[in-house]
Amino acid sequence: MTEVYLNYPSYALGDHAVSIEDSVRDDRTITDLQAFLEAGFKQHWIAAPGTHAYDLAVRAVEPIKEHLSEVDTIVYSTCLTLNGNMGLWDDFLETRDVKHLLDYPVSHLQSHFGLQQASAIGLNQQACTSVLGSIRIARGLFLAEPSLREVLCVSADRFPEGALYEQAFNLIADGASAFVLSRKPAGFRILSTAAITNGALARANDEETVGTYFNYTWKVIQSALSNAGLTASALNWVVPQNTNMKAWQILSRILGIPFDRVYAPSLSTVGHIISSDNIVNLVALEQDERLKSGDKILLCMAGYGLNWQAVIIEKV
Amino acid sequence: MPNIDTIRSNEKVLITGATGYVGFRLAKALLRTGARLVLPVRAKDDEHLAQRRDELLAKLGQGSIEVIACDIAKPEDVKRLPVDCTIIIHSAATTKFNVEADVADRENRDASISLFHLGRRSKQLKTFAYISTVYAAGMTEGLVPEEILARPEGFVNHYERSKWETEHALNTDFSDLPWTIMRVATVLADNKTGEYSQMNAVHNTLKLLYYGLISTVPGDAAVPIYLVCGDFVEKGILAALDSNDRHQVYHVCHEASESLTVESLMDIGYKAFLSDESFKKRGIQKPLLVDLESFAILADGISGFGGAVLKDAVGSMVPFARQLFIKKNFENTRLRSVMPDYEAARFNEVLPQLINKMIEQKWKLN
Repeated sequence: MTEVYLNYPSYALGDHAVSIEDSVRDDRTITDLQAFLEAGFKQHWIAAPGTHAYDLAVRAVEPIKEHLSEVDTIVYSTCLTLNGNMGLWDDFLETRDVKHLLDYPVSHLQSHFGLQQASAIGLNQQACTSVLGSIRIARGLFLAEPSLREVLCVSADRFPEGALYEQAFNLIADGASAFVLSRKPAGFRILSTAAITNGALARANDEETVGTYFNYTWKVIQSALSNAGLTASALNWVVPQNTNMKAWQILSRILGIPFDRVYAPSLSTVGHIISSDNIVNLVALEQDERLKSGDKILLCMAGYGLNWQAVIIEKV
Repeated sequence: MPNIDTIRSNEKVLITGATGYVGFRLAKALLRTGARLVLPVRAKDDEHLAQRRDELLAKLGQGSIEVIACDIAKPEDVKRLPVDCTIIIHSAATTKFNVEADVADRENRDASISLFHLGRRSKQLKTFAYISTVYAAGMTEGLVPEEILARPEGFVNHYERSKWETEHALNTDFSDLPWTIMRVATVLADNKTGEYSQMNAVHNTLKLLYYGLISTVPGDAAVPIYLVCGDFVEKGILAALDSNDRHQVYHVCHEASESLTVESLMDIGYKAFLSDESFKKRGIQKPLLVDLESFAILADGISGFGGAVLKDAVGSMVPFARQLFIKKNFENTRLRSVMPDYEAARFNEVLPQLINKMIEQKWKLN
């Protein structure tokens, strides 16, 4: 049995905190202010002009750079595929040379942090679920490659300048996250992963996305629980994405988990950092004295594609 | 179908709601037995009246039919209706579960009372048939007898309340009328083949599920859903009319053991959806049954969850959601006693056929 552990979770936010009132006023959203407030959103973080998602990735990795000496692989995920390329479209148009479309941030990150021994993997078609997808991919690598020591998982996104900062009725934030997966028993032991993709809904509108949310989320959670040999009653915490908390009021009732165990303290002050919410909230949970060794935590995400992913971890 | 031995050429029958589903079926059936019909309809002016008359006559076929402009919610209109009818069938009602209180009072209860007064003035009247609903039982749990009901502890919506209040008024204030009350269940299809010519909350909910717009449904899995086919309703009401036994209540529905439950309706419906390649390809999952509080959270927070379609979807279920948690056991012994050939439809067969037809017709009426 190969045990894999998640450790050193870290994150970085966009350059500026912007109140929901300001963003509604400045046309960064569609939904009305009151609905956002009722959903729990108060502010979000927006990257400054010129800040690339890669810059946010570097900022997220910076606090944990002392722990990367044994990293053999980097899994770099983005929600938006355009954040997986640092080349400029205009340069491509001018030269017709596709190398401008092959300028990968993971390569730059490897070089920046001196991780020459680490190979690179890009992951950019799982939307908000990418960070959980990176855990699933990396865990699979540990099972397949006995010599693999550690994997650095990074997820980074920023919305293009001028974009609406709203998706499926949620307030979006720019940001990045990073953590290390290792065989060393520290941090959180990974108990199971589960993923579902329904490609037939690849172009689902917001209504369809929300319409399919509950039963698919329930299904992926059941799958993760089953893979871990657990039932929902064994879960001590649920660390969800920063989306409308009323959804989790309902899901927690369906699953039979007390709502006060749904842990998303960053929702109001951070917003929905499309693929990094789980990590932002997990960092907060790590600092919460109520978290005990042996506690089992469900990380859960839904995203475009449509994708649903869940990971169950256990506090060491 | 009415009993073919029942000839009603001597009967002059006033039917309200003849442009509605049940009223139209009864009008057509009675016309075939030779009855002379008086059909009040709402009309803005003479031109509108002529248009509605033409539409009705075209659909009803040959016979003695008098179409009269009358808004039964206006007492002065009702006073102008003929007082020489031998049978009055009052089937007009606002049946929307989300009807506002004042509209339900005016169009269901008060309009009915105007018609009860008309009945009192009709000296040749042999029968006043009030078409009510099983939902007049409100939030009553357990056995619901074919009797006048004491006021239930509560009602889920104003439609239910207005129907119970109308029954109550008929029983207490118009005992001199030769009344019969028929409490009708929700019509699922026209007949056992699943044909349909009306859509109600059940059809609309199925449509939302088919399009993947709701992934949760409120309800207790074991609660029976009282559904009927239109031909059964027609036959049951006419059988009750023919019984000549007045001051009686009939439940035009099937028993719990003959009905689908919330869970079986979802299971059978979802299975039928899966036979449609388009649905199957979209990978829509079976909806989750949720408790009332979860549904209330969804309904309450819907402005933050979704747009107009989703709001409408959830909003359409709010006015009847609570009924999906209340186990009722409707008695239908009296109805069975007047229907020797009583037979419950097999809804596990009717529902898939209905769904197939609705998908074929893109969820529209023919």
